[in-house]
Amino acid sequence: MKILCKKEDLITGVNTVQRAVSSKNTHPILQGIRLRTEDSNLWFEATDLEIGIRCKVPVNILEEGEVVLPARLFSEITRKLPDTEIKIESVDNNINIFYDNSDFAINGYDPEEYPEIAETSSTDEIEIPADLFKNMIRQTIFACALEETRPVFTGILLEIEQENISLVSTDTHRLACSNALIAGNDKEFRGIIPSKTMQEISRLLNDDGILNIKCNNSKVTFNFDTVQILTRLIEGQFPSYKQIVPQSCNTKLHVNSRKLMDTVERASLLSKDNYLKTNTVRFNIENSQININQYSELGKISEQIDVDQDGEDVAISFNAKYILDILKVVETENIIMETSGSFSPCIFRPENNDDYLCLVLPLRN
Amino acid sequence: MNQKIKLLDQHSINQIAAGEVVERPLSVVKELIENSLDAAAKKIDIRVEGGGTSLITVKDDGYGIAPDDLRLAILPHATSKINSIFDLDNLESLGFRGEALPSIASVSKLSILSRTSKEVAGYEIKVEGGVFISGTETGSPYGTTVTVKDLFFNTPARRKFLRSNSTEFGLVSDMISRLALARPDVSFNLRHPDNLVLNTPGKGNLLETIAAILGNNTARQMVPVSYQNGDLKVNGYISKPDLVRSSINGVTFLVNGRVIRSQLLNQALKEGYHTLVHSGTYPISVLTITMPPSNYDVNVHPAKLEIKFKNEKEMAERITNIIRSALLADKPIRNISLTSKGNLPPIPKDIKTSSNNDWSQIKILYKPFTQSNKKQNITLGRVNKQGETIAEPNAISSYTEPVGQRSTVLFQELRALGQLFNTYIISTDEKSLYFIDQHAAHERIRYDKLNQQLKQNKMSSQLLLVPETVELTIQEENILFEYFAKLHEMGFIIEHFGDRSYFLRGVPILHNLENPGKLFRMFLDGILTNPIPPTPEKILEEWIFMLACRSAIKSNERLSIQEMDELIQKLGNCHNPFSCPHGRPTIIEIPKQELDKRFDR
Repeated sequence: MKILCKKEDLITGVNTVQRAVSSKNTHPILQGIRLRTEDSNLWFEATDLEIGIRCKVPVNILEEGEVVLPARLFSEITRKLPDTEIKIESVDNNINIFYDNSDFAINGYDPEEYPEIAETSSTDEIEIPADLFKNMIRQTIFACALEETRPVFTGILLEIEQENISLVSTDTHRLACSNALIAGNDKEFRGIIPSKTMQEISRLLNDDGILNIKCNNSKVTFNFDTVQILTRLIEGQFPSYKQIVPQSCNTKLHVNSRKLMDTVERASLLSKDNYLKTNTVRFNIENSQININQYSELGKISEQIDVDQDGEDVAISFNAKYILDILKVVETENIIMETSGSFSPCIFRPENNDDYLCLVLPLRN
Repeated sequence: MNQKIKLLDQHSINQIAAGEVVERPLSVVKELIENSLDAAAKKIDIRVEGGGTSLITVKDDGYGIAPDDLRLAILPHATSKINSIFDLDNLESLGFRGEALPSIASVSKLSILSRTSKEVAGYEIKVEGGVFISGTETGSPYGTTVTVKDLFFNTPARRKFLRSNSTEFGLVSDMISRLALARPDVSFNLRHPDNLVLNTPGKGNLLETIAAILGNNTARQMVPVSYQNGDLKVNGYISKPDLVRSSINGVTFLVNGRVIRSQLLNQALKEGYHTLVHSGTYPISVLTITMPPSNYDVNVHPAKLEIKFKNEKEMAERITNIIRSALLADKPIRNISLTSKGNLPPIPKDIKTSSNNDWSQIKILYKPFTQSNKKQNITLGRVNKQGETIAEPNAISSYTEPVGQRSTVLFQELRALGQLFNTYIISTDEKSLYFIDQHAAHERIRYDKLNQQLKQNKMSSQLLLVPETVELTIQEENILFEYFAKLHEMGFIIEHFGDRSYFLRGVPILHNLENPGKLFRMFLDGILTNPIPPTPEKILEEWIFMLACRSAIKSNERLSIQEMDELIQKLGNCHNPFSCPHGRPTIIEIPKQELDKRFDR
């Protein structure tokens, strides 16, 4: 392989794929980044067998070929190269990087051993505006479970049904669900995508542009711009979330999002810094007001927020973090809160927007 | 095949019984020594050859057996120790089954030579493989000598299962050591075959016996335990937290003079050392428990190695408390000797190499325990304030919750001088120099605080959207019923689902606590595997450790003198200020005398 390129080209490519490089030591070649020439483009590829990222950069190809370079070293050297024309040349598995009158040689891996990151062979293809999908990820990813004991909860459910696409996540303490419309779609798909993949998609997506999703039973590919992300799906049964979401409620509130967020943040100052760090917040809802009266050994807080109340009075406790997580992703001026009692699930949704909801289970104390 | 049911002949019965009682040479030695002790022997000489398979001789100066009784002694269930099963409840002797001698006789070539004080001469009988060979009158001093030759000569299968001679002998000597610890008033003398391996003074002083068996240095680091309340009496010695072993072998429990193994007591002992020693390490201890024989049952194990207490839980708790109070009363500050052991009394040469059974030589062994030497020991650095050091047992007469009264005094007098390596606080009380590990100290303070909070606060539970299904065994289910209220208090909301399936609908809300379902399982398992059911705080301990460790000040953090003083005072208020929750020390001491010595003053 022999190519001519610029420093920025290399940095772009490496930065894009680097997060997919395996951090574990078991399979040394997975700590490499593969460079491959194809149709006057240089493809950067990395995978940890869970997620694979490919990215193409136009370069001047003098001789076709492929190499696998140790990711850490290659990434460091590209950052430290001077701003000049760079030539990369490989002989067997040894790679020489020429710049100015100097050269830097790296011992690479055998590209034959590198796993193929094959594109999903499927005709099931849908397209969705990138900024929309990015927002859907933002609205759901925080509710994924972090612990690995029940893997289905560590991912986000991608569900495509006719003209509707949904992302759903839950850690069994709360559930977030975001929907969008894809006009004219007749494909169906249901699969759990690891949250790491979703994070990468969100990181790499540009706000303008279209995201193309190809899926089959075991794999999903996300295509946008010059980047391709392939992911394995998490096996297992995602709970049937539609049944969990209550259809009616005894209490419905319209609350100013900003005020609620500020109040909960202030209240949690007292509860999260106690020794046990339980971080609870208790809402006493009566007479069109949310009252918060809390104390700990640090001090006490009492606040009232005026709300639009429909239905019964109720007192309900939450993990304050869960409430704040929702308020951070909701952009409308008011938020709707629906509950049916102290121990019933509470639904939060933005005002005038039926596409998103987040359900939080209260605390019992 | 003719499969008629028939009674076995006596010889077969004996051999089968022998399988239970006489498992290996160690069992023979144990049974014979216990017989000697039951015969009120004051001096027991044991001689072992070939790991115990070729020869075991146990010679005592006890009552002896009358010639007429000698033949009876080798018959099964012949005993002088009880008359009927009802005597078991006030059993004062070690044996009672009448199984040992016939069992040994049936698998070896046995001879018993005995003379009571009434007889003018001794009488010796010989038995081979359970068959009586001869009985002759012969000269003998008072007492009984039992010689066991060619153990398992007629049961080759059993012999095959024996391990190497040295392993078997190791087990034998371990058992003799324990029996010797049980009876400091009896002199034990073990030879293998001609080397004197063990020799205890038999003067009734347990510490001297410990010194003879475990060595002077170990004995010097033992803390006395003395407790009496009602029927229960606990005496003995336990090691300071910095003297530990990696196995439970250094632990000896004696109940009414009987050496026993007990998971329950082991657990209780560990519990007493909790947070004082690293997990996976065990203290050395010799504890003599005296209680009415009716409070336990020895008739659960053929070799009587295990006993069953009537009130297990209470027993374990009391032992734990006794250990704990003894340790805290001792103020386990580790001191460092700048001179490398230079001023310890010379360690006598290993008695193993000496074949000289001279009582004067043995005296050297426990010389360091005379009064003057004890004083020297104290000046070495054991914390003594106004002569409060407990050197003799019986200092603690009954157990009261130790709140570290005396340690508060100590810590109040401490003032910080400065910080070393941004990691250690140097402080003094004008008598000694103390080094305090700031991280470990703060960790201990945080741990105590967290524990206290946890006890005060009622736990909230986070309800679950998708309940976690838990399948339980019948045993686990019973535990669940028993501890349902406690689990509820901890924040677990459990619902019956069907059969032995349960829904976990709510879990305790704790910061950074991942996977609460596992916690629930841990609780059940904890109750299942431990003889002492753990408390919720105990289960949550790891989580508390982590939180305490994370929020504590780190090493390499600069502190002002005020901060250091504050830390020292807070440490002084802790329940146990001398070690961090993981068992590492928080404070070490260099006494002034030590420095004086270094500067030749």
